[in-house]
Amino acid sequence: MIQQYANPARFNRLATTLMPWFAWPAGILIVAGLYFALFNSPPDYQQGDTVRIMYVHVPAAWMALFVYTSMAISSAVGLIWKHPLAHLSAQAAAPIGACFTFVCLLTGSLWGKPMWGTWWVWDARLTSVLILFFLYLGFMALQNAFDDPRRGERSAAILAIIGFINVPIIKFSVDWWNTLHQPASVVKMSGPAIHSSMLIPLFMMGVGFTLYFGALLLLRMKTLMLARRARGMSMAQLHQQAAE
Amino acid sequence: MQMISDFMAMGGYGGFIWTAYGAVAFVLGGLLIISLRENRATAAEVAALEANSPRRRNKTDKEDDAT
Amino acid sequence: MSALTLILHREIRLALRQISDSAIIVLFFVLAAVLFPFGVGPEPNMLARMAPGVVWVTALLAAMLSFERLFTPDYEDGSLEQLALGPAPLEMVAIAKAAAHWLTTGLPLMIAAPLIAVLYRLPDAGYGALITTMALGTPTISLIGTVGAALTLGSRRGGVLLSLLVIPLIIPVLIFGTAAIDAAISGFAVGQHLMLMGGFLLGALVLTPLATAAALRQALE
Repeated sequence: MIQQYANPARFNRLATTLMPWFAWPAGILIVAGLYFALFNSPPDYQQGDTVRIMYVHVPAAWMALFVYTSMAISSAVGLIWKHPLAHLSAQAAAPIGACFTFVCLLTGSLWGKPMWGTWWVWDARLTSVLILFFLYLGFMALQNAFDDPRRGERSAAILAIIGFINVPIIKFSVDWWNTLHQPASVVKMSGPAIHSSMLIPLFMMGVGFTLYFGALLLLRMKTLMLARRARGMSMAQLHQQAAE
Repeated sequence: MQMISDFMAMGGYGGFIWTAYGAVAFVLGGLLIISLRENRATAAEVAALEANSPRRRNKTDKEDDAT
Repeated sequence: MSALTLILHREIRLALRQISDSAIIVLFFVLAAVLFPFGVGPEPNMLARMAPGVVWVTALLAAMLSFERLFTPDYEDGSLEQLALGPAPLEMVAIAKAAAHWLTTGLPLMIAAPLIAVLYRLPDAGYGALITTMALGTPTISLIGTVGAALTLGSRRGGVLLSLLVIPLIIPVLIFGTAAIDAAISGFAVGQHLMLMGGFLLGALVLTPLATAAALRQALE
């Protein structure tokens, strides 16, 4: 019993200590990245100023994949080693990942309209990211679909692991799809190495988003742990009332 | 003045670019605010429950100390 | 192997007892497909163009309806627990379930598909590809749906949730199924698409029993 509580209590303290170390650099990097992205980076010679959408779109896409990967790993850890925090971290990460995926799709669409002349193309990259979005939603729905929260988290964990197949598909979809159908309309980064004046803000935003994810993950895990505690306590009170 | 409006226009693509950045700010900022609120609400819930059952609180305090 | 055939026998016997369920699924398939000409108009060229997609999409939706009850009766009356304690590993139970599901749902859908294609005036060159992609695709759907059924076992609103989980996972089957038929109609080679679909089937055959068994195990825990 003590062991069971000990881990969350220790984690809680650790999370409280760590959170500012994620949150502040995240804020600074994102603000600085935004400054470079909007004011201090050159317009692309082909795409003009729309290339500025890249500085939020591409990091959001990285995060969509990164968060899903972290979710699948925590799910596997939770299922195999039954570590009490693992499912919690997957559960906390899912809404963040879903938001990043949504942002990625939305900004991609806003970039596609002026560049390709359409909001949406049914090509492999876009479709597989859309599927990733549905997987996030399915994970959250499955997690909440059971009366016993423990069943929900285990079922959702299995789904997260199955859905991981999609991650390499997204990663390589651009190469694979070109060999099958699509003319090369989506090749964004494949040209010669992109210039450092663009790479620096991109990198700043990427790291900033990652740290933002870290801070938010810790916060959401703390909340979930509190909620679990509240549930346990109200149950205990009910039992006590019944006994009296 | 001219500079600002040039900047806002973004070479004619201002609408797309500002919508994109606005959407990012809205979604990621909104998620942050929701998460903070949830955290506060749950903490308050736990505090209320603890106030309700002093016996229970003593026990959890001890457990926290045991770590 | 004998354990597998035993379970398979049991599953098929149970499924045949409720053969009306299969009939309803096929009926839904036909009805849903018949809706489209009313919605988009009966213009023959357009219908022929739409045929592969409509047949595949409606078959997928019909299949979605059939998964919800796949494990629930066994779960509720405790025979799933018995199966888990029995000599056969749960992976084998999963394969048997999927096989029985395919025989009672996938196969009827496959037989009904050409009839709908006729209504849509699918060009003659497409029928071979239609049957072949159905033959490769419907077992894949049965296998993936079995995972979904096991994952949502005992959940609230199981049916809708199941569709939400399974549909994203079977999109590749849909993409390459319709692409193969389109290729056959336009006179291109279909081998690549069919090989990919065969690959999906093999992959599903290896991976989904593991996932189904894991999901069942945690449901019974």
